[in-house]
Amino acid sequence: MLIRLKGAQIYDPVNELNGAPGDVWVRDGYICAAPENPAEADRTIDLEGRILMAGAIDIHSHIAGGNVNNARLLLPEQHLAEQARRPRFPFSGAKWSGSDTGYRYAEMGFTTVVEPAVLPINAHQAHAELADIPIIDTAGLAIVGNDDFLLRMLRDGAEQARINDYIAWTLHATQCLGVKVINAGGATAFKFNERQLNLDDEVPMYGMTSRAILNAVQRAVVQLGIAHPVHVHCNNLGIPGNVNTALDTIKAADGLPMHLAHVQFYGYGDEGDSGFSSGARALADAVMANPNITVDIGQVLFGQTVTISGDIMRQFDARHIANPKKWVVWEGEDGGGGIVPFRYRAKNYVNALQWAIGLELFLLIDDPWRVFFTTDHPNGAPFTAYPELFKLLMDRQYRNQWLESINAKSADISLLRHLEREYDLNEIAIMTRAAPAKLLGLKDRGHLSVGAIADIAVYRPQEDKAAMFGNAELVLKNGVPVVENGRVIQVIQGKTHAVAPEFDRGIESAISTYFDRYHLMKMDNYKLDPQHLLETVGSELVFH
Amino acid sequence: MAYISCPFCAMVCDDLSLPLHNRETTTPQFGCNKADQGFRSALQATRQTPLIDGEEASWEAAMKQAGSLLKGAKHPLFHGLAGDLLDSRAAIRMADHFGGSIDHLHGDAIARNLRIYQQSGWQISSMGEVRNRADLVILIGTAPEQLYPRLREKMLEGSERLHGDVPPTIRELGDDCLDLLSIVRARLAGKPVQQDIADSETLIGQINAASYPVFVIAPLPEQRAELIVRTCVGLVRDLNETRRSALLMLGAGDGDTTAQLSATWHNGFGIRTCHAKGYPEQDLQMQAGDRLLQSGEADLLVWFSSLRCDPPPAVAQPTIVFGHPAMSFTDKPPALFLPVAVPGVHRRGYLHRADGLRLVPLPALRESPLPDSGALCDQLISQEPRRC
Repeated sequence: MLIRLKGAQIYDPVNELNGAPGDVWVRDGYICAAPENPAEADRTIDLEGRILMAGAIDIHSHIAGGNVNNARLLLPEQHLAEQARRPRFPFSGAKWSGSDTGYRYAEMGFTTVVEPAVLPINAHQAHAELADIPIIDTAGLAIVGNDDFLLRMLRDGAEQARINDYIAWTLHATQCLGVKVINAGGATAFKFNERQLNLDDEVPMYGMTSRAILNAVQRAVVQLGIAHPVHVHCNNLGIPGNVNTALDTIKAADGLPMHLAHVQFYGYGDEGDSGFSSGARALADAVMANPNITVDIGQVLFGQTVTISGDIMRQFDARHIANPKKWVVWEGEDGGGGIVPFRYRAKNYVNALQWAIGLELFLLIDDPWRVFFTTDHPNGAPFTAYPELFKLLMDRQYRNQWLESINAKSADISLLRHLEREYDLNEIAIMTRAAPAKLLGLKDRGHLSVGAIADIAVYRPQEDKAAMFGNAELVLKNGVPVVENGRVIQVIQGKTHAVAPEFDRGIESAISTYFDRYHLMKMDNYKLDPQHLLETVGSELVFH
Repeated sequence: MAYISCPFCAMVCDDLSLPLHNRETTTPQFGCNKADQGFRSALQATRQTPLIDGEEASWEAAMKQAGSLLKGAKHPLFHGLAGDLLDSRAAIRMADHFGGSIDHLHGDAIARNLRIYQQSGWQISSMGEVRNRADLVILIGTAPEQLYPRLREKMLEGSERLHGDVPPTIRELGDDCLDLLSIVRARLAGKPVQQDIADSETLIGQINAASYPVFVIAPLPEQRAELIVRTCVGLVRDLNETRRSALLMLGAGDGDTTAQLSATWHNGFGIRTCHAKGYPEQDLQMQAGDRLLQSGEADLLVWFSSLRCDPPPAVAQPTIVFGHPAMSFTDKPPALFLPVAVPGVHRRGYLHRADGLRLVPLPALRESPLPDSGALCDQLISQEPRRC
């Protein structure tokens, strides 16, 4: 099947196409060169006047795993169904189901989404859930940094090469695309009744600091040659004054690649009458001054949502602000976490400032290759609020309208009123396509080069950018039209992406012994078997 | 050595090894009654052909009959779900396609716990955390050793622990402990109690001396369960204001955790959800399977039980059974019996461990001609287009 996408305005930063009209050709799921004779096309789709980009990629969205699923269970009132499903589209009336996740992402032109918090012991369920999300490709990031085996190695002074072996083994065991550190050592410290852990605090029983854990994991990722830098959820998330923790963490990276996740949640100063202020300027300056650092924002948008995190300290601390007043905290092997529902209110000083801080960061960090578009779904807002966020970034007048209606004090002290920058389509294409593909090491997407996977999103230009990005006019996944006029028209099975770095298999002997001593499971059954996943839940893994 | 996983109790142990003789599995002896019985029953099962009204029939005829029954039903109930992830997925997809309701064999307990969870949330631990860190286990429930024969060996009595070598103190409270727990909670909160129980002083002393007391709750008689669980939820919450404590709910097994969690990511809600209107609606009382059958609101029972041999409940409605191949019927046979592969014996699969944190892979032990329920359901879904 040879498809010609004809005459669209193409935004493809990798190939330096910035709105120039042209054709894109697709053959058997991949982008191909134009044939000598255009009449060879089996199908031509006239897209004159439309905007065409590669499919969007979300690097940080909690779409699968224990926390996500238990949050669904906790909050049935948040996702009551409103419409019957459409024939041929299973569970399409089931809001916030795995199916709904795939349908809604596809309808916005997203074709790859990364679940950034796969606790290794929960990896089988995370992959089973990912396999049940239709259309989009997925990947997971494995959580490390609170695993007793790693902490013991560090305590015992293990060589970095052995740490590298263990991190590589973890990636094999969990079939993930990279690793994430959440408040390194924090979940472990919580198990000793500590309720806060700073970057240079020692983790009880292990005699090393959070910083040392983070550095060791970061070095392992770099030395193993894993494309995605260590994905960091800093210490002290959500606490006034925590911008200093973020700045210290940037320094701790010591020039090596590091990705800081949902930085809005640690862009907080502690100045002013309320002891809560914006630290966006200082954080943005530090990001701009350190090209080894990438960030995603975790934008807050107003309304009801639920916060879910592997940061058990943070979630436990937040239990008193749960809205509605119910919360879950859990502890498990090598981690923990919590689920705390929350409603961000425009008239609330802190919430309004959180909203502004996220936007300040988006607008102050003037390098779309290093700042990524996220709401930390569902923590800052559900991913379904993305169209609103596109509009806020691209339309200063719209931002100013909001500034009139949020908490006046927050609006007054925010830099937002003075930031004139508006993202253009090329920057949007970088931030949501080209840059995330590069950051994740997914060379076959995020651009429209010949040989790339034909993940393509087409939008109808509109003044209202929320309307434009909310419903793609056409989406191709692997060259198959899956969305037309903002609605899913065909369901296909996505794939899950992972890495398989080389490591010394000798480490398995020690890990196996460790499992036999301390775990209720055998090491071999802890490891995910790609063939087993494929034959049972239908999860097809692709390695990079 | 390759280890096998046992799907026949809530602990889903994965450290069994099956003796082989001349490539044939011999009578298993695992030192665990539940594993012995479960594997023996599945390995010795011979039924491979469906039954229509108790009479052997071809698969073609049986699937045609199944399609006809499903097509004719106004409100099918997909119930039982004593199976693994693939069985549960099949049932929930059928409910979505044919517009029915879904429940589990242990739906009463699941719904009760879910109600408590949805009203207040809770603070919980995992089996591994209890094994490695709890220094006081307050064991609540009826005869937990019978339900989980290896509970003590695997979780409670290990002396090699992450930061010590002393197994936890175990305080067994049985299932008649509501008064004791209530008094302990009140006293720990500094509230007056009208009448104390001698035991409360001891238990308070144990809790105060512990670094990580965990309330491990096995199945309870229904009339006592709700208040006991709610009291433990509150007690744990109070303790954590200054110290540490947690709950651990063990469930009853038979795929209860798997059914609930997998139904949740499929329909957003879990069991006791009705798809008749085309979208999922959960109602923990109205969608109780037994109630739907007794009231006559459900007009077809579709019973999934690949892990248990017990027959489905005797009901007035016609019944389709996706069942264990050793299932037998002493009373009236169901309208249709479809023998399916037992997960972890005849086919690969997955089953959640009791705490829900771990989805355990189940290997296949032998080749089997038995189909899995997922494939049969796919066939039925594709052969009977959706009505709306």
